[in-house]
Amino acid sequence: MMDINEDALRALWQRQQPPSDLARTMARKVRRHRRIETLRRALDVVLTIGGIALLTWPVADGRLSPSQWLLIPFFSVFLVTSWSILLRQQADQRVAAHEPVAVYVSIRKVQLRNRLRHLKLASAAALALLGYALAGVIICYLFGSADWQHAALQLAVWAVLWSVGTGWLVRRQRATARRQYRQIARLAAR
Amino acid sequence: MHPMWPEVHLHLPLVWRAVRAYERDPGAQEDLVQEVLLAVWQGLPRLRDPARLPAYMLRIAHNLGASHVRRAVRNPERPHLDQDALALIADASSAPGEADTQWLLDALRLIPLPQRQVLLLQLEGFDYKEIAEMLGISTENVGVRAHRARKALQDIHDGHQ
Repeated sequence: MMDINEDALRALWQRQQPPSDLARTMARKVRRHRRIETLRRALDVVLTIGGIALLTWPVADGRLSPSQWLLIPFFSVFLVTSWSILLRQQADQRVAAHEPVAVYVSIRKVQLRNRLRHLKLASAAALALLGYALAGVIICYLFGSADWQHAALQLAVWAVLWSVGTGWLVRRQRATARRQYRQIARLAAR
Repeated sequence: MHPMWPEVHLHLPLVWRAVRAYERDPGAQEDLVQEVLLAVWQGLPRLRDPARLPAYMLRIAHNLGASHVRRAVRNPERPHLDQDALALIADASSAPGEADTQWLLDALRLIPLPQRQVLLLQLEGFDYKEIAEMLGISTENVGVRAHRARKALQDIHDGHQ
């Protein structure tokens, strides 16, 4: 059996050159990604301000309609769990990637465990919201006026859609997080 | 734009080669290079010594490459060198030219991650001390991993002879 020549191996490795347009493609992709990030941050701010406005303006107005009453718990759950957990996820990995591999492994494992906990929380919050909306429908149909019944039904439709969407997103991201955790755990091996 | 950004572009081949040892699919390789560049972009203001830029970029590439899972489902990592994998590599190495590089890439992807990282950094010309610093391990550990990696590569090489 012939031994592998180290110099030849190194020359073979370093001979690989990227496609000539890679730098240009990457510059374009990075610019595009940064535009999307800015848009995402703007969306984040708009949603937060919108949620706060929705909660506070009826108070300033002095009157709360049935749908506003019903929406207050909805936004209490929504604000805490949705975009704060599901939208902000990639940046922390990039920050951790600056560290030496051994440190990155331990930071990333903690981040992924937190991520799995957050996904569980998002899922539980969506289910709680669904339960709340369904209870609202029952109570409003038993004791409420037509206004309350209509508002409760509307909230229930939103809650079902929200729950289905969250469930889909959580399943997808949980599988990725678990695979990444297993992958990272291999790095810790000697 | 950060003043060191043109320097980053100069070292792009280093990142591209590292990423290829983790991901087979060219489209996903581009995504991974992009992810590395975004992380580099974020960290540039904190980088004090410009001479350390290549090592810094490679550290990020290896961190993100090792935790990259998009294509790992279709092509799971194999801790043991099975016969199918060896046959694939043997086929790739039967043609001259680019096939040598392909053989090397396929063989590297079979080596366990901790050993692969050390070998890849050696192939880029870093010494044990530099590798130890980049990976956050002792130089003795680098030596052990390098030895195991070379042994695994030799086994793969001998396996298809």
